[in-house]
Amino acid sequence: MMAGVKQADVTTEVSVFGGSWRKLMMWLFIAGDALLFAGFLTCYAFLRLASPVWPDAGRIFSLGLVTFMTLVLITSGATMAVAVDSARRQDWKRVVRLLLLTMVGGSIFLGSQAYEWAHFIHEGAGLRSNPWGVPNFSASFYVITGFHGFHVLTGILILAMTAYRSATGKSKTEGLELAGMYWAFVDLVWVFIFPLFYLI
Amino acid sequence: MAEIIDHQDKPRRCCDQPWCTWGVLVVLSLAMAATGLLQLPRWISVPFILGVMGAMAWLIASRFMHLREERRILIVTVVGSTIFTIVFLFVLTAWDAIHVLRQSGP
Repeated sequence: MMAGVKQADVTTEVSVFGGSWRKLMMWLFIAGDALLFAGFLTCYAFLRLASPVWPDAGRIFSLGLVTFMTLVLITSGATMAVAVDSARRQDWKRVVRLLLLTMVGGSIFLGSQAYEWAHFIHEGAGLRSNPWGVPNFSASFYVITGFHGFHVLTGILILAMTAYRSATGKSKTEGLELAGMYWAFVDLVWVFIFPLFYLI
Repeated sequence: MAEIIDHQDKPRRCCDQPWCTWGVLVVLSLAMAATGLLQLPRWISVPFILGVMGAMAWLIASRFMHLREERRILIVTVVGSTIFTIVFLFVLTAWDAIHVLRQSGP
């Protein structure tokens, strides 16, 4: 029976939604990851609502630094979107330059986050205690920003591989589109973390 | 039979360019940060920040993730189901979760 079944070619076959299967799988991965972050942010909201007092994040963190990080990440999202456009026009030299720029943006973001963490740790904030008296405050900060930072780091590695493949002529337009979707998702998640954690 | 969507030769308006989207996102980010700095009353700042957050999220998803180039059924499936699950998760578990957390103490 099995010998008569034709195996589907996921690289060329059209998915039920019109795009390729690879892209559909990427969308499903992103939706799953979005739910994971939604779970974290929902827990954070519960902790805040259940806690009678909550430290003012605006007085603890440098809003200037966090705004700078946000602008850097948004700029890297724009360079990535332009890289995808360039890949669609088959301008691979420009793609490599833009990917490197995007990686620089991601690295600056990660460096700023490391600085922020070091400052926070230096002030005595740990996973179980902090000087502001609400242990959940620092615990949720480390978990949420740490998990996002891990995504940024993974994104930089994906971009490095994509840049190498683009420079050596192995990359395809769809590969750039998938990498671009992931990077934009990292951007998207930060747009929720920034106001919910630092501003509200 | 359905065909894979080809985005290569679509004409674009100026406001559809990534740098234009970037400019709008920068302005919205600065507006949001300014709201945090100005220490406005919460009944003004919270709805404003949430509104700007939603606008930024939509811009990034539609322009940078190219969601608007996908078919409507995919947009509804991915965005609709994600938002539904988040709302479902939050609304239906919020009171129980808060109750349990308050009972468990600091």
